[in-house]
Amino acid sequence: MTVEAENLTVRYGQHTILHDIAFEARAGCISVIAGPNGSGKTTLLKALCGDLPHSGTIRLNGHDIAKLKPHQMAARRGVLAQETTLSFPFTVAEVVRIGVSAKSDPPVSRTWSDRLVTQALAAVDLAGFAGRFYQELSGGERQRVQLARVLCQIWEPVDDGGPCWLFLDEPVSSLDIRHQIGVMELAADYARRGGGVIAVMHDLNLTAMFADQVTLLSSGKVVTSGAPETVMSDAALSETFGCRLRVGVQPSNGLFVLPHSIMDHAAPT
Amino acid sequence: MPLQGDRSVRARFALAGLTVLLVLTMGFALQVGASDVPTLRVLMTWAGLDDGQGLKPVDMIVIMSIRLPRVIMGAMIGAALAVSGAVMQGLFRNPLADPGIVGVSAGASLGAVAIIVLGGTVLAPYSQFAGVNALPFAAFLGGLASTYILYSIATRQRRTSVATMLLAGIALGAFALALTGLLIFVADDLQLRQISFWSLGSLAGATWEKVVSIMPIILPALFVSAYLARGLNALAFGEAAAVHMGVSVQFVKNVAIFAIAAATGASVAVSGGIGFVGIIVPHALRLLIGPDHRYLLPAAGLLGAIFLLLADCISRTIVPPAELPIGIVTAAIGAPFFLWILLRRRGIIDL
Amino acid sequence: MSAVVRLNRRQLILSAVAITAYVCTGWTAVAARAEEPNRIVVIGGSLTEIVYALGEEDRLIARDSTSLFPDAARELPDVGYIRQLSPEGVLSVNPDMILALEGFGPPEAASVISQAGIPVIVIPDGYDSNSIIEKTRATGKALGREQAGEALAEKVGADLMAAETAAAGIADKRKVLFLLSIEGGRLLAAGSETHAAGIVALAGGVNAMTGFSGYKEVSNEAVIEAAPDVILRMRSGRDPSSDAEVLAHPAIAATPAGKAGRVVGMDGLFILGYGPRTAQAARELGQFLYSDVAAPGN
Repeated sequence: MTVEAENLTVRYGQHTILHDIAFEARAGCISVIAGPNGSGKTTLLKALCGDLPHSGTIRLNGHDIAKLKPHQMAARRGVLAQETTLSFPFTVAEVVRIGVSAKSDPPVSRTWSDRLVTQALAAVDLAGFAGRFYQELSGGERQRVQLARVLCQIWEPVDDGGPCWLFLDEPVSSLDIRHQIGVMELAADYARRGGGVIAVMHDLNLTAMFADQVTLLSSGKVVTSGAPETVMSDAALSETFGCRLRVGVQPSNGLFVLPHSIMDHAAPT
Repeated sequence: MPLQGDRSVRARFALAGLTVLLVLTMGFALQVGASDVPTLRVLMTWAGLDDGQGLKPVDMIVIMSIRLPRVIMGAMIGAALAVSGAVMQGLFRNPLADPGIVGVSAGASLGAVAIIVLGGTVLAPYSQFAGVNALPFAAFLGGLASTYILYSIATRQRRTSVATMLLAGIALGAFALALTGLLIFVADDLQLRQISFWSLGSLAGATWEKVVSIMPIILPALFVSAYLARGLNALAFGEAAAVHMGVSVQFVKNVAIFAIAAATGASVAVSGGIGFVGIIVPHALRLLIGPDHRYLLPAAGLLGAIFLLLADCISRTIVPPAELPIGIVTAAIGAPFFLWILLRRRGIIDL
Repeated sequence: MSAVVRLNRRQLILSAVAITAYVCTGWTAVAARAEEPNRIVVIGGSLTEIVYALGEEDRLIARDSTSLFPDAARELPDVGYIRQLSPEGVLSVNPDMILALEGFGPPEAASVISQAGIPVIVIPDGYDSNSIIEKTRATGKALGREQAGEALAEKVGADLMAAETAAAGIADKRKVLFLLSIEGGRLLAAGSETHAAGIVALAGGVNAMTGFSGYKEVSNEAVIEAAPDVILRMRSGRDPSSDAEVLAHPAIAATPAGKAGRVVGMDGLFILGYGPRTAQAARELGQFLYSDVAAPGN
């Protein structure tokens, strides 16, 4: 099962943001969309969500999304936006519960619903935050509350209707490094259990670490697409980002922080 | 163990409490007034449980023709104002939105004044057709028409921009006021007198005819808004997020706008403008039971009714045998309360 | 719900019949003094003045907020503004008759009061001196004092006639602009078909603003064009501005009245009330209008 786009073109007024894009993401994988500012990464993700008028075809698990109703789409994919502002003083528990009520089969019993909320909050390392007001949280905490809400909407990675999809727009941009890794591991776990993950990422290290497939965008066109070890070459990255980049070389002062270190040791606590 | 931060249990208790309180308030509102009337005996007599010996006919009139329609109309209008305020705030994602600012009230006023000034000439066929309900119904149509004009201005490619809608609402409201001013200018002495009857109107003009004429407009609007709760909850995260959660945002908007126009238009038609109920009541409830619309909307209906009935009790007993306009009472209670909320919970409702 | 409404309709019809019967018998039963109404609510400042002039004030139990003359009337309970009566408030003073000036309301209040079986006598109003005589006559009749009413009407009529004769004798009539308000620099003036225009005519002047009826906002140019000789305004009205403020208004300052500093403020009920004191008000206004020439007419 896949999310795929064919001949995808998106225009804002006179400007063409995406030119004739071909894109494919498979369930069970983390697919990362990377590229410089203004390359059309977020636009591509929004188009895949069904938010934007476009030409070309987008299929979600084989169904043309133009023919799907909002509630049918919602049963298949959850979307985490870059930033979500809330207009009313909801508590964290209430925010996440709204995600539960957006499930295609919302739990009948309150106990079940409560347990789902608690589990989702624990998954994003916010256990004990249920009673806090959303407006009182930091940016990174808010982002994780929203992730918990999205998770509740598509809690099971695979159900009778096939795989579910997590669409993440820069999910780690406002997080500290521990939670960056935590969120990426959560996504990896979702993919491992059969779900699909599509993420827009700025962090090339985390991309190299967690992505199963990378699509590099530049000026609304796909530069290259494939496994990270093939796509993330010196030449492709330098072309995409417009500056000289080298992969896997120690800086001259010898100082860098490497998230990859966890790969060699036990999981962080 | 109940989930922390979950106010739904509290909200259910609040709903039960408010229901009891509404019944008590209605009884109280029937009991107080400028006249000293044995309310209970009149009601028992009416229900056939008392022989009515010793009751004066005027007692029957005061309860059955003055207070009872007034209490029922007050409860309906209070509920309509508070619920339409809560729905509009949810729709616009702004706790300060009010049916007054998108021109619904101004449009309703225009409809009412148009029927007073032009009812004998240009609009004569309509006023003959509508009969005694010509004015309330014209006000309702005015509110609905202005909302739909506004809606079509603010909607592009089947999407409604809330910012455009707010700004266009202010402009349309000003335009409707200008047209109203023009009609008042060409009105003759008798028509001016009727306009002043209408614009000074409060719940004092409550009659069974008015109750019957607004009930089929207000009750469906209240009933329908209960089905908007899930959509409005999702809309609190923004339009895109609401769609992502499976809500047909356009449908929710259509229903919400119609319900707001109907409830506000009908209220303005029979009671003139009564301010602050639509802002104060939902605000107070969000502090008490949280912003979840599944509980907020019914609770707003109950508390709005209670609030308006109590304000009306004050308005008709504070300067007997005269009455204070109810708008003065709601503003006098509402404005300081509103400021108090703003100061106390500035952080929470800050946008 | 529907049962209540049906009951209500039946009551409505019954009470309508009752009122009709009452009104019909009312005219023939004047002689029956014992049954005449003596708990009367009076609505309308000029009617209150007439009731007092007839010496029937002991039969009043309440008044509306426009009934401010004579001072004794202020002692009566106030049932509210003439256009915004509360039916329960009126019923609560337990009246047996409502004496109301045409234009009282709201209509719902009137109909509910009628439903309660209390006769509502509506006295017509108008803008000419004849309407004052009719008003006096009708009030006397409603109180069961037709002879006293007739006598007062004749006295008031003679008074008004004298004022009219005096006014007719004036050849060079002064133009008077009646200003209801100058709030925010906007001039709200009286056109035709107003009590203000009526009193100006009765005082031997002419209304400076023509071409519209009622009280309307007028432009500065129109005021200068109208060239009033005198500005008339209410002394104790809603407009708190002083005469000096009126004269400082640029449009007013450019008129003959403004240049000569001729502004007169008079009590609102006195000049616009159209009651027994109207002839006197016209005389006082006339004296001001022509104070610079020999006494007009007489």
